[in-house]
Amino acid sequence: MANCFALMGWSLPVIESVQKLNKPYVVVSFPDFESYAKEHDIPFLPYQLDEWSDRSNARDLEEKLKAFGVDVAVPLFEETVEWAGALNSIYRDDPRVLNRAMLFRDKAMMKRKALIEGLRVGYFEIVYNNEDVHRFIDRLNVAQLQLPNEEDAWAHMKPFSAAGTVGHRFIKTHADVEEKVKPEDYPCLIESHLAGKEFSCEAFIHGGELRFLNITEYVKLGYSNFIPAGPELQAKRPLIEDAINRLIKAFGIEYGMIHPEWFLNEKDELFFGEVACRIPGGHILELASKAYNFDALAAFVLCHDPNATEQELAAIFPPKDFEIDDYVGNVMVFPKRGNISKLEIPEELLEESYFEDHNLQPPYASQKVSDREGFGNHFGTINFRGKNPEKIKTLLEHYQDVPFYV
Amino acid sequence: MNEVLEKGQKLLDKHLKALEEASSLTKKDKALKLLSQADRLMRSEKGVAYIYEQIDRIVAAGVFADTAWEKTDQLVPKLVAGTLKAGAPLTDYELLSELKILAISKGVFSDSGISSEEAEFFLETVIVDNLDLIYGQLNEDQRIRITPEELGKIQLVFRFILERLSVEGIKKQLAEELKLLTAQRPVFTGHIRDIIRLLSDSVKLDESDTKNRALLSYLYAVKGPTEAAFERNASEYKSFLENLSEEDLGEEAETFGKSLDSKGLVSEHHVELIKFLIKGDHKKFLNLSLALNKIGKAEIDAHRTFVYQLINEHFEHYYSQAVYGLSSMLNRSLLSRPAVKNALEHLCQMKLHPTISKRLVKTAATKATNADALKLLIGGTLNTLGQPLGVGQGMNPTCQSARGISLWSDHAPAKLINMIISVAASNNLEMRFEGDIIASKDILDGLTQEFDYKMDPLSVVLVPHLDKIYNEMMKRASMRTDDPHKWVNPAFYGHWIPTGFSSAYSYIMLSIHQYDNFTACFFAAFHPDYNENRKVAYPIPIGLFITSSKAEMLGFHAVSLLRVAKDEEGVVRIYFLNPNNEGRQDWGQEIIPSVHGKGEEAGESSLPFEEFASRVYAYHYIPTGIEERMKKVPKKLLEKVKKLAEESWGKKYIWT
Repeated sequence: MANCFALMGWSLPVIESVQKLNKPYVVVSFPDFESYAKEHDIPFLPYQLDEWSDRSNARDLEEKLKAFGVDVAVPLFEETVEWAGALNSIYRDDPRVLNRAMLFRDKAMMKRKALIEGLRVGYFEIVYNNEDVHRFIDRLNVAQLQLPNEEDAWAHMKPFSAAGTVGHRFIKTHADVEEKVKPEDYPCLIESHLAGKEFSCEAFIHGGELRFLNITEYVKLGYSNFIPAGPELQAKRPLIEDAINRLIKAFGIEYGMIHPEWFLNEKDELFFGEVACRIPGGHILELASKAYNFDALAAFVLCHDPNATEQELAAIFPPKDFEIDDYVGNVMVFPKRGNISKLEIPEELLEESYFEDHNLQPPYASQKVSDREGFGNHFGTINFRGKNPEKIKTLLEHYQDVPFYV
Repeated sequence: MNEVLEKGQKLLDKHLKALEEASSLTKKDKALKLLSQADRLMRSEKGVAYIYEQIDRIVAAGVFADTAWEKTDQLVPKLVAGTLKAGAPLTDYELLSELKILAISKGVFSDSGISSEEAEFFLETVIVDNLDLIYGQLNEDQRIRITPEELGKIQLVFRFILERLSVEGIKKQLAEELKLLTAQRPVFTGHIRDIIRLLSDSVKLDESDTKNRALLSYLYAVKGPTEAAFERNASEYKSFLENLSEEDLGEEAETFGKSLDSKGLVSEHHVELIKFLIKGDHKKFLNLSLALNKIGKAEIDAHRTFVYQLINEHFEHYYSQAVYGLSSMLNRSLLSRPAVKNALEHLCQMKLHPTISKRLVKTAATKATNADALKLLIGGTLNTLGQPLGVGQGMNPTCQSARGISLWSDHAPAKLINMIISVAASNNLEMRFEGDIIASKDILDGLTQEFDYKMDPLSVVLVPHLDKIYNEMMKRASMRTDDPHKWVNPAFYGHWIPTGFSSAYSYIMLSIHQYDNFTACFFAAFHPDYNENRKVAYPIPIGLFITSSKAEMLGFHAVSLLRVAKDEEGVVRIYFLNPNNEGRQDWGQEIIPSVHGKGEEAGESSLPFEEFASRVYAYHYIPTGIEERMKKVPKKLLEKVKKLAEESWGKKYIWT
């Protein structure tokens, strides 16, 4: 068993879960959180995680963490993945742990690795300026055997290392390049559009072995998802599990949880989108906890510990033959742009038998909502629970468009 | 609903457990989730009771941790009204806090902060401060801010509290509230009866204590005005009457009549009494029991057969309030207008459209589940005819329709009854607009979906149709260069509307334009000092800017100007109908309409002329000679009105 976990980043639900696990831990995060941590008796080490210098580096951090006896680092944020990788390289005395962490932080590197290992990916390049992008679209058009006057093939530009959809630009035409892309976006990855149904998995891995796999169905990326996925996707579970196992091998992942996103096309072919190894957004692990009746956040942390015993692992995951009672899904509520003055909970929501709870809060006096980058911060989440996945889906589709803030 | 309730209880348990198990890190989030279920549960009586059963656990689990409600001894009763209106989750925090305080007052739950006596006093203060909210008599400000469902939830929780709290501390305020509510003689008396029912359920009012007399008089009015009636249910009272001496019968009739006249409220016994008096042909006693004046007595003599038939065939316990409608209608001598009598006879024989029957039995004007729809409609029609100024809009945003019903009841009762007949028979209403016929059945938009049934039977039938037609007319008259009301009001209300029209807002300049001219014209049209003391003939539709108690612009509202007169102190006042159920409002700048004691007739609101003028945005007037008279209106008065306008709703507009 780990001597002490270093939780890299900040997440109250994770801290609470680790407290309940009764494992020693220390939170490593920005100094801003120190006073809250002190007030709530949270072991805490303030660290400037956005700085890499003589005073701020993995060796220095490791030194400081010695006082706590840390031997396992757990990344909570996208931005702490390489910090955790560096620390775990030291703890496991294996320099490649850091290299593998970098795979999750560089989308181009991630794609290359996937390509080499035989996973299906789109056509991709690294681009440095608008001209590169125009050339990419031309080459893509040619590869798609495009005739004159046909529409351009679609492509997506993504920063190498950003969580979720931050900095994502969807390029549908040559003209989009000048309109949507900013000089500071470069260099970045560009990839041909992958058609099909997008979904994610949460694969808990220990000792290089897949211990537990959840499939999450996206209703609208970034707005609503439900767990477990409906029968249509569940029917593809063997295919998905096989792909996950290949991904684990390809990336050499030994400990932790990965959160890959896939596209399933009409021919039942899986395309690899991207993969992260931190706590996924969209409260997915909270949903998983509810659907499978286990503490997914604690399991996430525990999987990072090479010394966790089989008994500990068996105790934390749901039994192999576990059958879910209900599907659980959520809608994240983002207010529309502009001035909002009031929270309005529609009566039909409260009369809905699948409605479980929400944590929406009223806005400050006439709050102004500005444009958001990626999915930004939502104002709250509405949870649903019920036996019928189709109904859950319909509810999520409906409520993601309901204006709760007016 | 039961399934939802059961599920809600289970989920509450689950969320409560999650809250108990949460550390301080996620308490707030778990509390919010619990509140979202409490929000759902508090929409039913059983749900409220269920929450109250667990309130000690909910509080101990930390639902109030790190919120303004955490320390009970620091709660301020005056602030409750604000948070009750704030919406989820603040309203839910507030209601849970009230339930907690109730538990403290009952000794079920102890809090080091306050004693059980202090808890009781706290709740009494909150109840008195929020009577309007608790009994659903909302002013415009509240009606805009609270949805009917939110209001229903607040009322359920407070009724739950009231049933468990002694109302000793709030008797005086309740008596005053009842006085002012009944002084307005509303057609719909459901809310007044609710207050009285609550009183009788929750408190023993000892008659020997003089403090209780006022309250008891209201209780007797609805539960039986005489001792004999009060002690018996209506059927027992019927047998009691049969064994009464002539002299005692006369006394019964007189007491009933006095109660009817002074309160405008009717008990079930009253129906039995008048049926009994008809049967024995006790004409004099019948007159007494119906509180008929000279005109009313002559009226009943002339139309005795019809009146008897009306009572015998159509009056029932479940809508006893019809007795007051009949009494007032007789005193208005309406049956002597052949058109009215003919229309009423027709109404009594008609067959209702099934949709209309369904709507009628939903009216909150009766609690009976087996009520006959036609009888309700007949009774409601009598009430509306007898009390033109008692028409209210309920929680519906239909001030225009209520204003119309009131006007027709007063000046075109036969037209009103014929409208009712046409809607009740065909579920359709037709009106002319600029040469076209508008039929309500062809109009899809309307508020029938979320209709508030806390209204009288006539309004329940007519308003949805009127509202559709009104909206359609407004649509057709929009995009012209002036306020659409200019064309819609005369078409909708009828030929009573004068031809002149003035609007403060210019649709060409997109601003408040030449406001002094607008005000001068208003004075020259209606103020006795500047209009050659000419009286207002028919109700004038007026568009008002409604402002909050802080004089902030809230929206628009329709009222009718009824008359202008000097009150006892010599102040020239405008007397008007505010169809918004409750004339008592606070419009800021110390502009507070009065409903009683300043010369108002039942159902009228009033304000000093200048104060009223400062909120007007559109009105109709008789144009003859107006320009000459406008010149005589002193600048000083115009400036006074303008200042009030500029410093309230005027802040929202450009002035040119």
